[in-house]
Amino acid sequence: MNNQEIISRKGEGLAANQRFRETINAILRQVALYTTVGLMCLFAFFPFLVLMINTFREDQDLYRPQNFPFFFNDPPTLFHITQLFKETNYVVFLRNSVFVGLVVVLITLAIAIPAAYSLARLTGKWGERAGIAIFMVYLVPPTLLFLPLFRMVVALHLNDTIWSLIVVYPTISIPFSTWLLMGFFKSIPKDLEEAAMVDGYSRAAAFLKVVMPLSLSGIIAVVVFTFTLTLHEFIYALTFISSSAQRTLSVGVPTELIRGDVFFWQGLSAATIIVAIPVGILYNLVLDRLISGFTMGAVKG
Amino acid sequence: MATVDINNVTKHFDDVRAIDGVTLSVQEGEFLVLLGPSGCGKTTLMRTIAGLEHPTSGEILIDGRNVTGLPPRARDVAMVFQSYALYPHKTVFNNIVFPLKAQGIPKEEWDTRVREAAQVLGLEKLLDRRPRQLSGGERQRVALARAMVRDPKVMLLDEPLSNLDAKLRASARDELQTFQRRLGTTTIFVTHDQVEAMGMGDRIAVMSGGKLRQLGTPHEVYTESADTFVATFLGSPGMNLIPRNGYLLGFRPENFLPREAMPSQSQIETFRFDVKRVEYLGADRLIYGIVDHAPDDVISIARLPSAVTFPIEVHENHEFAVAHEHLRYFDADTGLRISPQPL
Repeated sequence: MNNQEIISRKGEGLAANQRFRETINAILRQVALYTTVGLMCLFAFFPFLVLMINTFREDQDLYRPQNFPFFFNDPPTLFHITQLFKETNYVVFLRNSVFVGLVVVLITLAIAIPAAYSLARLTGKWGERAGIAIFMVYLVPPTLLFLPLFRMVVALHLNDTIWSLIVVYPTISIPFSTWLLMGFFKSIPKDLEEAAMVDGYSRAAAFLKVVMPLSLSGIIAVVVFTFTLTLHEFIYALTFISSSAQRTLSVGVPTELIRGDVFFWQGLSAATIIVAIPVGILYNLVLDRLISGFTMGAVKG
Repeated sequence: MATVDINNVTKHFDDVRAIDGVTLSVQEGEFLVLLGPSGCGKTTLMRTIAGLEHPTSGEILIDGRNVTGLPPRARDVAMVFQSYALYPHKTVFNNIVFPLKAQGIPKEEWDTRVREAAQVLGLEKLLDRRPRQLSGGERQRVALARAMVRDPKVMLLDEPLSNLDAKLRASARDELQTFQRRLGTTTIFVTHDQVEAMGMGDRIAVMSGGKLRQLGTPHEVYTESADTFVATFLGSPGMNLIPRNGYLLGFRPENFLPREAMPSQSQIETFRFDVKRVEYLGADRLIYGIVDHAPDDVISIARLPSAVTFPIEVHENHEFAVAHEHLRYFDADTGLRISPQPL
């Protein structure tokens, strides 16, 4: 073995050493990344996990303080779920909530889309100011409004029906949605509609065929926002409605599952998780539709 | 194919007169260029023809039919936007077929017509792509295909080459012109680039400040410029203008040569030229300086082709000359061309 060979072997050894270190580093980076992601996921999922476990626990398991709180110390039971569905109006609340949610979403879309489009395109500089004014309306808290609105609901003979909520919820959802959609419509180049108009379409058809598909992510955001709002809104739902059969989830569940100072924890957990999981999955599905990349390439090179 | 007549059209945006009384006729099958600096009203005029803007007064006739009050869809014009305005959510095929759907053309014809248009523009392989997957030149061709597919009466092109890089622009200019000649569609082309205008237009309409300054063939507007605006806007650099005896004397840089380089037999006007700066541009040399008796702030430029190898130094006072046939005379107040004046 001459000197040169030794040097080249040494070089190879160094190179191998470096490769080895790079591999280790890459692995460590991956481990760090996935550990962080895993912890974040656990953190976000933790409340759901606790609710899910609590749903199936026996009373004596839940109430004994020395028991480990995050696991079944006694065998799980379906008793409280059966109770929720059989002995309370839960199914009615669920139906009412979904119905109110869907109708309010439709009303909101029907009014906010044309409003936002006309404010974004047709009124020049006043559009911007009107948009801000509309957004201000959204900032007035329901705690200030529920009494006057209750008088109006009574005047319309809608008190104690879910229709009172269907009439009132759009006062919150429309201003916010209009403001949100204005941003989306403004981000779509005017050229696209004009091209459609020169290509032979009316303004309305150009809107439907070009602007709407491109604002889909904004429209989905509005649907999600409005539906969530109707699901968790409490003050109006509490004050406008007194009979159990007309109640929605947000008020019905606490009124039926908290009796005096007795909390039916398993029932409450079940009532919440049954709504939260499908809604969570649904939102995850649609929110992935980020179409912002969609408009790229439409304009300029 | 159709004619377009613009009769005394004005368009005001609040106080701004974007178009100020323009009258213009475009002939059948003509390639007319609207040329002017930005803000001169050329794009507004085109949008008025398309129906995207409504004129404050005046009327627009396409093929003899008054379309002033009609919406864009009833005018049978096609337009290529500066941004191309391709529909980003549609494939190339669906972009091109979109106008056909609006025209109520039977479904069976769609495929053949789209493919025809795509073939003319070399887009057959791109029909399934979306606009964001295309290069600038390809997007421009898709926009053209979408415009031609329904065989419109008039094609309006709004600076379609300005988003292409310089090399592509030259070939696109060539393609576009060949394409227009083949289709024979009346075409109005808006640009601020005089090279595009000179190279492509059958006629050029030069606009400035919302007014039509001159309408003529590229040769006419260049050599017989109607006013000082047209004279200085066209040419690179534009015409030299020197105040003299109450009028403006104009001559183009390429006709302003050292005395020694002038053919001896021609009738010439000589100037003492105080050279301030020399710019070497490869094919040409630009000589900046001040002509004798001209005010200090009136810089004149001579453009010497590389064939003129005569050495010119900075700070030299040299004798330059212009042939009489190349001298132009303009009114000092109105800027309009006037008949030859005593020198």
